[in-house]
Amino acid sequence: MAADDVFSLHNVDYSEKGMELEIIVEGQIRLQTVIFSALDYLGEKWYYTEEGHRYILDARSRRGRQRFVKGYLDRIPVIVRQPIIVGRDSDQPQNLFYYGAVAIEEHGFKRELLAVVMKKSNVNVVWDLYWVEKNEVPRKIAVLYRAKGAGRYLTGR
Amino acid sequence: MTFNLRVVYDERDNLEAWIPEFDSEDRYDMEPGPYEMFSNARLKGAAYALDSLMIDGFSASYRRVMEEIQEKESSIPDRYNIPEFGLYDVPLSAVLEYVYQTYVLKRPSPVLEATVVVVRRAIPLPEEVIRKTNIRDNTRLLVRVIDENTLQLSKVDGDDRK
Repeated sequence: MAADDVFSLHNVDYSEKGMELEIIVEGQIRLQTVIFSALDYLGEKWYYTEEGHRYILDARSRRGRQRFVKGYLDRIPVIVRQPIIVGRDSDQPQNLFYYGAVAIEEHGFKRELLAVVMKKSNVNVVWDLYWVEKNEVPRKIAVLYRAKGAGRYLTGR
Repeated sequence: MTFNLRVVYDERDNLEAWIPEFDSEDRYDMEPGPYEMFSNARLKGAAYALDSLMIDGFSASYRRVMEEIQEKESSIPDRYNIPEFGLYDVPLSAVLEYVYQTYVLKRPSPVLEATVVVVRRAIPLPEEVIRKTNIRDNTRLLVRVIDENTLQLSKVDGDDRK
């Protein structure tokens, strides 16, 4: 999938595309421009924005091993709607982590753990997407929700 | 053993570090590194502690992360060079401490923040400042009170309305 495909997904809502949102992050207002909106596993609305899109593309370009993530941006709505694990870090209450196991073609279709970071504030905005390289949810993340089969990603707890 | 390390601390408060010589798209069979409080991994069977780490919300996680690193570090012989920081042959805790001291603590820490709208530009600004900032009536500004003598003004991200 090309990164541009986030502009033509079938399972999201583009009716607010181009709308400007103000999200308050650590007391600062940040303007975000909507690409699409969708619902999470609890039916709560969230937005995918141009600023988040650019950040993910830039940040995942830094390293060869994370670069493949840019080809899986279309999985963000799927992971957020049907996560295998949802968690929160008590140090960063504004962030919610949605984890999904995705078959990665570049890794011989091995299922790898991808994390969608959602900034929860006056509006909910996707903040980041990356591969959790050790395929294990860090211990500092408190699990709020786990689907069947999540145990293999929660070892050592 | 000592490794060269690349470290990026970005505008979204995420810290990422990795050993470039092991960072290859073709080498992805990973196992967990020794730390449990944040994402860290190494190639399966590697003889070193980790070749990558990611810490979301580094400023908020720093103390808990450092507690674990300092607790385990005595049994981990790996050392790192980060030439961009002028750090050589240091343990991981020294790398994170440097980033925290240099980038996190030096961010201005406001005691109060408010967004205001410029109603009338009453203070005559030098032409150079107007040209560079494009501040005009109705521009929204974030006012950060750093201390009793210091105000920091910044345009709200992307705001350039007339």
